[in-house]
Amino acid sequence: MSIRFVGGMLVMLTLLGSAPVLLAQARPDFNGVWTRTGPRPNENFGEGTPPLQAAFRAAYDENRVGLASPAEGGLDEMDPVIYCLPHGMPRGYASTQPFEVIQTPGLVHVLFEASQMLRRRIYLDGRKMPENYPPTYMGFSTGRYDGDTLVVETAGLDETTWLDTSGTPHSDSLRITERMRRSGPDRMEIAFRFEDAKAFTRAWQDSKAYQLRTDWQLMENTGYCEDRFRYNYSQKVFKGTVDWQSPEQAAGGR
Amino acid sequence: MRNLLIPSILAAVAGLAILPAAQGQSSPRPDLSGIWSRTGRGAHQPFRQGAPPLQAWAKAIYEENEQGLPPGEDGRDDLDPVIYCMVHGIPRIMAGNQPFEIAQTASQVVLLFEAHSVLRRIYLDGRKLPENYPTSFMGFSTGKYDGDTLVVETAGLNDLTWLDRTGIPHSEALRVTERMRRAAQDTLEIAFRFEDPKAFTSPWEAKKTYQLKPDWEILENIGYCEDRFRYNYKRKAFRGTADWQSPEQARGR
Repeated sequence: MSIRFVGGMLVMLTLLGSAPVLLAQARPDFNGVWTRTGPRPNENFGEGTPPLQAAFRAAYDENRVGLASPAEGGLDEMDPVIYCLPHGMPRGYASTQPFEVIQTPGLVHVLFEASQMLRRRIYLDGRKMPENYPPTYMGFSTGRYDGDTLVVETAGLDETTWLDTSGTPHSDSLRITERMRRSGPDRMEIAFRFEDAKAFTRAWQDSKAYQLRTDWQLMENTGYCEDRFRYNYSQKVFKGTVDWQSPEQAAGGR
Repeated sequence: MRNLLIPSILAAVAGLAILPAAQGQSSPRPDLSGIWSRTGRGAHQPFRQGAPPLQAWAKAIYEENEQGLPPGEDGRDDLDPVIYCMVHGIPRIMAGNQPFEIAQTASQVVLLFEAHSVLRRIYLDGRKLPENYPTSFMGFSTGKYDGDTLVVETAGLNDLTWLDRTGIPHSEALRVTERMRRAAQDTLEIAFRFEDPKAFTSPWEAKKTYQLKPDWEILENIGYCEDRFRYNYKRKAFRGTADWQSPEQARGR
């Protein structure tokens, strides 16, 4: 046996040995803390009024009575988030607050800072949403890798959320398809496609870009109404009494 | 003999080159991942039998929290922060039987709880609690592996929570040390040590066991007050008006 032949065999064996590592690294890496890019990102999906069916257009207009600019967010008093309900899917992705992605074999976790740290689980094992699965604010998501893209389908969404800050309503038939991919060393893009046979006249799309923040941590955020919870607790106001109020109410104001 | 020696050495080296790549990981570390649910009876358990070693001011609060109830079993609803829509926090949530999922990465271990959808993040990179870090319900946790055990230190806890369902108060000086170990493939054991120089007269310890639930999922759970939020939302009861109430209030309770 010549040294060259043996050397060649050794190189080949080493390469074969490292092949599994190389293949494993081909899966896109979304791990980390991400925020929306841009100096003052718009917290809405899409441009202008979304393609809503009549009844849902009426609800959208009701959410925006008296607002001058299309860029303004919907009315506070109509916004579920003001009532301590979560942002949910997909609104969390339009927020300026960060989210963190944790990829494990079989599951991708997306943890949002907004909204009580509510989070998504994206199942990668191809499971279907079970029969009679209750609607949830984050929905039921399954995903698969397609080259450098993670393609995610979400259904089973609770109709109580606003799709975005402008006050876009939807039904429990909303289905969201996302295509997530790394677009640069510290960048990610998500292309969203929204379909809702009951609420929208057609499917529509929007894309958001995110920046990786290696020095950021998600902070605890136990809910939009934490100040109210703490206030009523410190006042020992039990939930059965009519004294349950916010600090502003106690001060005689709004 | 010499003819076989060099090929044997080369084959051995090639074999060594293949093995680590085939394993796909750099060093063994205890695998705590999975969905776990506390064993034993009761949706929530106390951490110990009988009163903990409390300083006088804390003992007074503890007795008020237990007033009229069987000692060491429960605390008064109207004084329980969880009834006011606040989360259980650390360590109370560890004594509940609603499941949590452990997800381990190289830099952190996260515990994803079903109750209130809260999460704990345990940093593995040795970082310290930053100066002036705001206190929180879940605290700031750092951990390190010690053989088959994950040792976790938690500080930075706010003083709004009950340590457990019996109404044990604590201060912001509370530090919790946990030793988490997979005692069997389907069993997680956590040994707790509680220290609070402002509230306790001495540190004290507790232990809980959790069972692996491979066919469970963590469900979405917004919190104890979700019914109230939805009720007020449907009624468009804006938080600034006097109409903000619970369904029971609406029914005239």
